[in-house]
Amino acid sequence: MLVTLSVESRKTEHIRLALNGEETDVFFAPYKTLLEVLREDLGHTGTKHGCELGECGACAVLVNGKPVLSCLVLALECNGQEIETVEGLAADGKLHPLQEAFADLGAAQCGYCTPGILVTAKALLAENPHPSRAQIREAISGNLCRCTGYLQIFEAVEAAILQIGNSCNPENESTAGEQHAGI
Amino acid sequence: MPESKGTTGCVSEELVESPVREVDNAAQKPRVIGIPRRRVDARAKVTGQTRFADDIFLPRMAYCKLLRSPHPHARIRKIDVSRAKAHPGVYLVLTGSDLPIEYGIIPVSEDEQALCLDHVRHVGDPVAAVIAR
Repeated sequence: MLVTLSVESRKTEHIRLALNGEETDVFFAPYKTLLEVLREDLGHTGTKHGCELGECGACAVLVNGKPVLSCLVLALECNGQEIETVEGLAADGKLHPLQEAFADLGAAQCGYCTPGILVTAKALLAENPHPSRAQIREAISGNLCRCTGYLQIFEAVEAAILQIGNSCNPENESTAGEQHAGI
Repeated sequence: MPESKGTTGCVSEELVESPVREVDNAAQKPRVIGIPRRRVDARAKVTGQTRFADDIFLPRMAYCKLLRSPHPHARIRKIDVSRAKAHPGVYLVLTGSDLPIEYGIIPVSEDEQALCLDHVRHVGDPVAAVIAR
């Protein structure tokens, strides 16, 4: 007689991680990937479930600041790690400059690849604040987009770099973004 | 900026703000034409708040898995679903004969099948669906 265990009773493992800066405890089934735990056990569905093969980059998250494909990482490996997802990019109700630029410049169309590209781009800028177009292209080469087209995405990353540079020098503060403050 | 009062919540800004009427009388310069506008759903897209079908989790949700053709072109002689139906936790097993009505995006070419009836035409053509716990 085959006994089917309920999903709840399979949640035998426990880890504690810093999810978007917040200390988080989660119980889950031991076979689950980081992606599945984020989406199914922690309710963070912003990170997308794409190919589950490490081909598409939709599931990219930052582990200790480095972009990883969460569909290929077991959640059990992440005990004590710092995880950042797309939900953690905006702070205090203000979008990250990358998010502003992606929204303003039409770099998010259907939006399925967007979370993965945003966190990957954030990791790039943390490592290299002024990448060339070729370096941006290289950094997000693991993120497939099938509708927006990559040009708008490259342009948005470059616009965000300018915006970040401007906000470091307040006298150069541009008005970009104010136009949409009401939305 | 006029606020959308539509009940659907998905009226595009371009429709709400008619470019023809939005003319600054003083300067006679259009305030909308030629100015890029943010998409109405852009903020939700870049914050991960957009709910795609795969993002919906409901209590006691059932799952569907498709059996797809491994062949590029082949006839379906018969399908035996008895073992799948007998498996614990399986609610429903569907094959092409359960969904016999053909459909299509244009009324004159309704020649698509949800599940292949007697013929698969590409690798990955869906043949059967199992809906289970």
